[in-house]
Amino acid sequence: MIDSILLQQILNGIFEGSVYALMAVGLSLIFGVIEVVNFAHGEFYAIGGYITYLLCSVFGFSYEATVAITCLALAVLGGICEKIFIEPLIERHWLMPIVTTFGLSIIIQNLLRIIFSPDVKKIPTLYGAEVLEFLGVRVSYQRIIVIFGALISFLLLHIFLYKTKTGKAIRAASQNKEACSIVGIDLKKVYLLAFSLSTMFCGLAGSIAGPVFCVSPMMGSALLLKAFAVVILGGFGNVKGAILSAYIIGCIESFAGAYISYTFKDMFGFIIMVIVLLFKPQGIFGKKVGI
Amino acid sequence: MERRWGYKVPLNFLEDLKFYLIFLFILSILPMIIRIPYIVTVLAFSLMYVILAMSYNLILGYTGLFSLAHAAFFAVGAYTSALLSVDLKVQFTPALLLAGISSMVVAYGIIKVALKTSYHSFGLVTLAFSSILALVYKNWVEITRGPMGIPGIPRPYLELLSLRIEFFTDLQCYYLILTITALSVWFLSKIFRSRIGRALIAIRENQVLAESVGINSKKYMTLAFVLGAFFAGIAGSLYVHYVRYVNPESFSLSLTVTAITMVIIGGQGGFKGVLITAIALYMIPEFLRISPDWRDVLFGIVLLACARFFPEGIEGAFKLLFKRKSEVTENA
Repeated sequence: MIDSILLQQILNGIFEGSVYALMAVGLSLIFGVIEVVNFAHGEFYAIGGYITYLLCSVFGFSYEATVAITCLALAVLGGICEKIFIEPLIERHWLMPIVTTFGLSIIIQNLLRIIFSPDVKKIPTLYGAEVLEFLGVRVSYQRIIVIFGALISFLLLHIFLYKTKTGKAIRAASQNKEACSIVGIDLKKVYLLAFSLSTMFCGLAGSIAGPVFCVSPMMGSALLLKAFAVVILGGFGNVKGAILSAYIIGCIESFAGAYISYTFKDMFGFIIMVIVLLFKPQGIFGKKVGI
Repeated sequence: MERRWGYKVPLNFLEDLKFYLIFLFILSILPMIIRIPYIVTVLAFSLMYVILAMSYNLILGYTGLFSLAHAAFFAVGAYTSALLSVDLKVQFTPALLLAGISSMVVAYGIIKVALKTSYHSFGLVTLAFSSILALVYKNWVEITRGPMGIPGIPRPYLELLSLRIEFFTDLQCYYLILTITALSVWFLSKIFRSRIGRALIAIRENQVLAESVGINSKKYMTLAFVLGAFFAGIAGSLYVHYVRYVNPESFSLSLTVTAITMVIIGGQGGFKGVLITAIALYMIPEFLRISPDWRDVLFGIVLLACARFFPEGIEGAFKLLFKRKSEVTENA
């Protein structure tokens, strides 16, 4: 007989890990390809949440259409932001792109607060509060959507990066930029694509995890920190490492929250990050170069 | 050639001194000319921001470490000072110094871990640490009183032999803050101009090259970070003694945002730009009565514009304008 509490923690951990992974994939992709730390990543997630809220609750779109539109909108938005703010700065001192993404994050977060007020908004979804029960474990349908949505999107990303020509160009750019230029890969296009791909993941995360956590202007910044911890753990710019360590951190946090202290649950992820940095600064999976 | 980010070293000592003295003079007579209590508070706060911005200038402007933990050091100083003077009835001077020292200790711990990463992820690690500290303030209720905060922090007084100097009114307290700010700014500008300051600039511009001429970059980075944290702690201690209340909400990320904006706009070279920007950036939103949300949006836009168009801050921007004008006149 399996202990149902243990099983419940594992399931919760996988769920949280899925959300972290959705964020960390984009961060890792941007860092791997453009070598920019995107501090505005959490805010793109928040925008995704708000678009979902608007489409679902205010305009009454169906949930499937909402998810699709949100992803598309975020991809376009990310592309525009990259074109206007990041691209002109890539050749400059490395601090300038970081300052830019940081400024962008502050602008977006405060604009969201001004437009939508700091209140927490709830997104009603198709399944509402319906709960699936098996082996003494309870999990809502929305969480199942998050877990499987994340897995499917990672699979699609893998196929895109390894089987298509464009995906191969992105991977090449993360390995050697000069060589890319020599063989005729347009680096600017690759940067644009990588950035909008990563913000698309934010849109997906916002629209499928938003209904679970509720939507607020600060929703991004808390999650972003976790995603950063995950990215550091997985080795900077290593997408697969980021996904794996997202699940690891999710499970550890869920266990620590259940068996040690719920108040300091959020701290365990950071503590792991610090320990890893002290003893293996390149991250657990940091050895390999490229994504 | 790749465009570098700022490279000015102020060498003209007399010019700096003149500027410094004039500034000090204006700040000390202002509250006597404009006799409104509100002005004193605004000035006192802007002086705290001056210390914060100057110490952050050492970290971001000189060394090029994108630290997001500066608000956390301010908070450590504030909490240390508040707890010492409320719970242990420690006097002002030791509380102030201990606030600075505890910030230094925390900073040393952070930088030991953060320097293990690349410079890109430095910001992330410091941000993670500052959020750990915020969790501690909020949840360690037995010591920090959690979200309720600590009220009733006494105003400072000094006891020299049998002489007792009290700083109980806002105005007296303002002059105390002014004195400490003047000393801190003087000390920091000395560091900027010394061998250490030049070594820090070398590290910022090219770490590998700096190491090749014998600069121990890790040592200097640690030094700059820890010293910056010391002064942030001092600013925090002054803050609690002035406001007489502290809670975890006082040290949000928006404080770090303000410090970053001040340093980036002020231009990372000389201390004049940062000094003026710190006071202006605190006072302009205050007098225009902009809500904090809009103020942060404004700061964000300014940061974007600076990163894109004026990587050398206002000094650089003025120089650029001036140069263009002179070029135009030459052509005409």
